[in-house]
Amino acid sequence: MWLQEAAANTFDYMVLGFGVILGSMALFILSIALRVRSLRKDEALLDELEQSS
Amino acid sequence: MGPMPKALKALNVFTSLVFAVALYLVLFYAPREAVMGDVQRVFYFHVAAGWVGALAFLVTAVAGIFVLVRGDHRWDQLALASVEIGVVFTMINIVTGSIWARPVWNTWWTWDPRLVTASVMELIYLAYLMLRQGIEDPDRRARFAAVYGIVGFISVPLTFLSIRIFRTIHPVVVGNNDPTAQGTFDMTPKMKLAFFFSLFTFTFVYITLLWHRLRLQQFKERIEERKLRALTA
Amino acid sequence: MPDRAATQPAEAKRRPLREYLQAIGAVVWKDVQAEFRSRELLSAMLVFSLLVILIFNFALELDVRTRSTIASGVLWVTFAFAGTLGLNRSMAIEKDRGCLDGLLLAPVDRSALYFGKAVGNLIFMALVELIVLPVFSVLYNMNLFHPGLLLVVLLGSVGYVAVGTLLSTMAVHARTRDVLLPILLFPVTIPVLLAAVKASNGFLQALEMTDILPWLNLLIVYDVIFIAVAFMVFDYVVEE
Repeated sequence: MWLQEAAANTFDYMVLGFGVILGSMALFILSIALRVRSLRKDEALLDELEQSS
Repeated sequence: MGPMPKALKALNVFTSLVFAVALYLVLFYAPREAVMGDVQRVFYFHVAAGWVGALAFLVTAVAGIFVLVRGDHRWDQLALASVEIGVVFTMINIVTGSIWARPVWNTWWTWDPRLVTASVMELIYLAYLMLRQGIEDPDRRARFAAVYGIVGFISVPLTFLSIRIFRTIHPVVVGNNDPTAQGTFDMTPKMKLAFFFSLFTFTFVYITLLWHRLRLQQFKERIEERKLRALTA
Repeated sequence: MPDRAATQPAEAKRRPLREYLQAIGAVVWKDVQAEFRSRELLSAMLVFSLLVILIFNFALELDVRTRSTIASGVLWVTFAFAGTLGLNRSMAIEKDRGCLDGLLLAPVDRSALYFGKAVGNLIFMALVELIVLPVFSVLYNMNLFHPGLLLVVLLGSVGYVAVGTLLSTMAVHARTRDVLLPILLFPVTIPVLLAAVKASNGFLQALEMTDILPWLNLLIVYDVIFIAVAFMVFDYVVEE
């Protein structure tokens, strides 16, 4: 019969694992990008205010 | 926000390339583990993420020492940037640890010293952030955060030690039979390459993200300063 | 006169140390006296401890055998929560009445303030423990006055209070001060609590000393390290 057991089928768990890793990293990078964008808007507003005054 | 320094642009490219290579090594080059199957591939990035968490915490603690001794606010910006990255990657470490445990030991959680220590570390990080949120004066906030960062960092090896003693004297009966098991498997040379290359890759991921997050923090504080001046003008 | 000349340098060396110890004593005496008059801290900690023990009794329906295995756990959870209460209130009273600023004006090394507060906190915690232990003995029907256990209670309390005093000095400045202290304190004191529970359990169940010794060592190491750390950073915490 089987001399050696075939490796367990854990493909789904692997996908889940990499999903978590890549997803978390992507979300973090996205959060930095969004925060930079929001600050740039604030900067533009402040520039306007300082110019008009 | 000032223009991105050339070095950072180069680092972005380098890190992305190295990450792509690491993905290839981990998903295709490394052989499928004989017993656990494909889920073992998660292990490479699981450990690398844990390494980043520990490194981030170390940087925060050291930056904290400089905050106290030098009184230079920029070290506080570095400490905060590092903590955020540490929180993210420690969380990755814990969750992937759980995902790996499930098919291998048929449990979502093992009382493995490393996993428990990572969880405690995550709680310390989160407490660090809550402490910062609660203090309004920037100078005091920086000092208090520095102190807690140092205290927290010193407590982590002691926590690890305590759980290790716990496991050697009282091996866990339910869940995981072998108290020393880390999902032990022998690493072939190809696996070793994937493993060490992952550590290398994630170190650069850390440095790159740290630099970006630090620039964000510096930008944020400049804008806040300007807002304050605009309001009080 | 030769005698006076000989004692001068020795006196000069001993004076700062004596002043230092006197400062610590002054802070401790102030806290103990204030507490003796109002008893608000001790009564709160005591009632809270008894309530926790009671709740555990209902939450974990235990037979006689199981009780002995979890007794040390319940005991230390009780001490940890009561300790947090004491630490919080002790610092809050200090800050709200403006005593903190007064103490800082004293011409003594800041660390004396730390040791003073820490010893005061330790005394309060010890008083509560001294009352809780016999109550616990009665309710759980076990003899808790084992010298080994008392040693563990002391070592564990010292470590807990050493870190707790430092962190409560910081937490008191936050708006969320009451909930922030436990959040800061518990993750960092896991080695103490774990070691204390395990060592207590060892003595209660009359385990081999070889099993208990690693935990005692860990307690001592933790206490020494964190008293030293607190001593070094306290200045930075109270500077204005």
